[in-house]
Amino acid sequence: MANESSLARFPLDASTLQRLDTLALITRKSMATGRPGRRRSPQAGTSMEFADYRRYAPGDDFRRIDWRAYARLERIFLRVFEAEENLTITILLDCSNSMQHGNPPKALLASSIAAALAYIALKCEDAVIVGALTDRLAAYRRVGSGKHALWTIGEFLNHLPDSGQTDLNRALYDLGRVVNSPGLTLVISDFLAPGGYQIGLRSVRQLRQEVALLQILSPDEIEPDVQGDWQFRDSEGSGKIEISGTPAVLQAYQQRLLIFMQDLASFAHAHSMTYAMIPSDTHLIDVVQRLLRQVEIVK
Amino acid sequence: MSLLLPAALAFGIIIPIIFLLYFMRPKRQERVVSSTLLWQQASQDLQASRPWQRLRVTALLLLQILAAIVIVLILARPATFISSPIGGNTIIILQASASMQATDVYPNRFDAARSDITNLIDGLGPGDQVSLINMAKTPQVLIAFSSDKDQLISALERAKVTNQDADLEQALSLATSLAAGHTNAQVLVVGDGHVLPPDQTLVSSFPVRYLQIGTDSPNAALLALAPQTIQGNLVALAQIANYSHQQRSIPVELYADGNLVSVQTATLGAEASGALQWGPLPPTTRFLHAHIISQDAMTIDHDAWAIAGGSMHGRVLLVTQGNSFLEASLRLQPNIDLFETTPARYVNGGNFDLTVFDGFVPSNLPSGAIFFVNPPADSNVFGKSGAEVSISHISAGTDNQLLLNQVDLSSIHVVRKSHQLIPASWMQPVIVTPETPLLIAGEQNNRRIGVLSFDLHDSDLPLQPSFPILIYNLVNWFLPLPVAGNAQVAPDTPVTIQAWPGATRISITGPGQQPVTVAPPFPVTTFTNTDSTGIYAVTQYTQNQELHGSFAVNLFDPLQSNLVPSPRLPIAQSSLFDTGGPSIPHTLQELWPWIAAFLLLVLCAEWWLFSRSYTKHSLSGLNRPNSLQQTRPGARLSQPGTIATLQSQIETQLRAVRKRINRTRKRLKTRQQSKVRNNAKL
Repeated sequence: MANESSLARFPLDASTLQRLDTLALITRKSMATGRPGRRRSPQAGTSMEFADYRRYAPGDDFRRIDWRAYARLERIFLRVFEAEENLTITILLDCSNSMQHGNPPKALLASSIAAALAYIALKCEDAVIVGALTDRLAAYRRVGSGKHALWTIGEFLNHLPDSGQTDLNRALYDLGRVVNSPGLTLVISDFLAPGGYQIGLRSVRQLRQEVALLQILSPDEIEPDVQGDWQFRDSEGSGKIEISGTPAVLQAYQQRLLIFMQDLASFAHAHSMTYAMIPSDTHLIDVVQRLLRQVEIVK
Repeated sequence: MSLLLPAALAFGIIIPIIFLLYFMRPKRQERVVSSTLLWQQASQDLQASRPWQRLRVTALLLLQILAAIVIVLILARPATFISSPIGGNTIIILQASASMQATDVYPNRFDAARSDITNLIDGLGPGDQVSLINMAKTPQVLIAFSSDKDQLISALERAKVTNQDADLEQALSLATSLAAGHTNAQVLVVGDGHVLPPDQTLVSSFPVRYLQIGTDSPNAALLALAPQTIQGNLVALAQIANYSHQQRSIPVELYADGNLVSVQTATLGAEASGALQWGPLPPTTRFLHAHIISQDAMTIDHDAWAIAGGSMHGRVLLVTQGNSFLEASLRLQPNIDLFETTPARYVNGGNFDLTVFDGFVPSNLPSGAIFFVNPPADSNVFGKSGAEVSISHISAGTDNQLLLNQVDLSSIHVVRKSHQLIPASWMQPVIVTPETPLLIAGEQNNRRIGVLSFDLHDSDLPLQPSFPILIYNLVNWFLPLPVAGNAQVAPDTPVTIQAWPGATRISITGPGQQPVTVAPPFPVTTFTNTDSTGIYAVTQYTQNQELHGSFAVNLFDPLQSNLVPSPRLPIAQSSLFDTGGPSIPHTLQELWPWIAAFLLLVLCAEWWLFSRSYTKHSLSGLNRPNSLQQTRPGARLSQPGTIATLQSQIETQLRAVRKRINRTRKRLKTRQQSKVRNNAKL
């Protein structure tokens, strides 16, 4: 019964999940995690895939000696096969108040994307960590490839903390307590953090993580519809600001938004991260099958 | 201009308040956004933490300031004092005499006076009342104490200029009766001052002011035109006046029965008059017309008409055994054709207008008028003629017919005897004695009958100077001229036509007019339509014939022809209109309706300006892409502007990075393969 109720609350329906079955998360380079799985590892392993020859050293497994090479060259070479391991996919979801706004709310699409990516990862037998970011790493859940992994993630996503201020630097720094092996980290946020995001992302990078930044902005943030005089209150309570909806102000805002997105993209590029901006009114399938494919997060 | 409520200027505080509101930041509606991070960076306005902002001079601000000033002005009730010299209860007397037709002011004096009065009416205040009197020979009230400007203007338009004199005395009397019961009444006379009576100072019980119309304009006028018989020749005499300050040569042309006789020039000194004579004229001339050939401000006195040779001729039959006195006196009458016969040869018939029976009364009386002289003793149509009696004292009786006009009865001394008359009831005794009336006259059935009761040979009456006068009066009574006197009347004078004996219908045709029937019914109706100058033809229809007479209407009025405006009215304590005079309250006219209309315009402009900018904002909102459209797959590709540009830039960079990575991978693979090959070789 418990499983059925958790399944009922999973953010994605069966038809959507079915369309995700053909997808897989990819990384720029292979990583050695030491856990067997289905991903190619940079280390030699025991898979059927030949990788290289190397000189024999005492202690090596005799079964891997290439006797034919020894017959030709009279030197003992060891056949090295590629290892297949799994990865830990860390999906970090910004749960601050700013994500609850927009039309449609940014958190809605963020949660769906997180669910979709987790599903894809679990399907590929990767380990998944989902975490909720506010002004810290508010919560996280590590799931393996177990029977109830999907439902655990569904339950986690349905009970995300939905309030709080944004402090991406601290929240991402907190990830060091959770992640201890190389992997892929996907940060889903609007990155509209007053304190910035650079320090936190660098610290994640230092955890030997490939990082993908998925920035979600609502349409009224991309093209604000402001007429007349307004007092804007920040959803995270950091202050108020008075705005007159003049063309000059709107133009200045859009220039600021462009600069902000360019900064984020430049930062991602400089630190070998992947970056994608996703409007919150984009359909999930469109996000996963097209946008994330374009930036080579999935294939 | 002054302010009726200057304290309202205190509302001017609203103007700095408007400025203050523009300095102050407006209270804005709150809206929660996900993050104000970008807004803070974007907007310059967001930096203002003070409640003041830099004053932005906009069209809306200027219009609001203007509207505030206008509102304060309206509250202060600005008003102007119109220097309208009339106020309260004013009676305006508009002179409508002949001189007001002068064109020395445009278009003429009368219309200029009406225009001035119209201006005065326009400046009337709310409580002012005005009466209008048209002052001609008989003043007429056009409207009495009205405040309605439309009604006053309408009444003023009904005023007509005439060829008459203007009787100021009657007009003042009318104004006095109008002013009864009204306090602070005053009179304003508008005209040139040529009014009756000119040489008498009137007294008025209320202030009278005089608005002078006209200029000192020269004029020449015909003051008289008359036919005259001099040594058996018919001549025409005309009197011409020069009303100017310099000598003038005035050409005058004379027409006899429509034919030009000649043009004569009268050279007259300043303010002088002279006479011109034309003749001899054809003896059959009936109408004379003189015309001054010159251009003056007034033209109605440039023409004059006169009737020559009597207006009507009657046929008179004298039936007598021989009476040289009667015969001689009748032959002197200018307007009769005399026929004579004896009683023995008298036959009734011939349609004579007058039959004179001397010592004889026929059995059948003729039609027409009859004058019995010394009728034999018998009963007659006029009464009864009795036996002869001695006469003691002669005196005048009832003389309604003016038969004794200029007749001196005291000079009659000897009347030896007379028939004793017992007149019928319709006969009037004209000359009476204690014993019997000597002369009786009366009219019955439109027939006039007169009776002289004694034989002229028994009296010294025929030897007296009064006798031809008496006969003249009698003939004129029996055969009356259409108009008594010399057939000259002044304009607008009521004319009573004297009916010819036996006349059944009388009509009058004026110059250029349709005939007007004045009789029947008898007595003849008074003809009043004599305003136009010229010849008026009188046609009397008897049983057998039409008798044509006429009379002339001429101005001949020195008072009206002298165009120099009178400097003052003949009223004690009257004053000129221009010099003030009695204090008249000024009219106060408030200006707020005009200012309010201007305010309405300002508000309309402000509304238009505001709605125009609002529409611009709305249109920009409508052109924004619909967020619902972006929910479909692929909507992101159609995102406009900056985002698409940014994404394309990012994709370009990513593509470049990807190429670099692939190239590096290939290089690494190549190296690995070469290593493997080397190892294999090894």
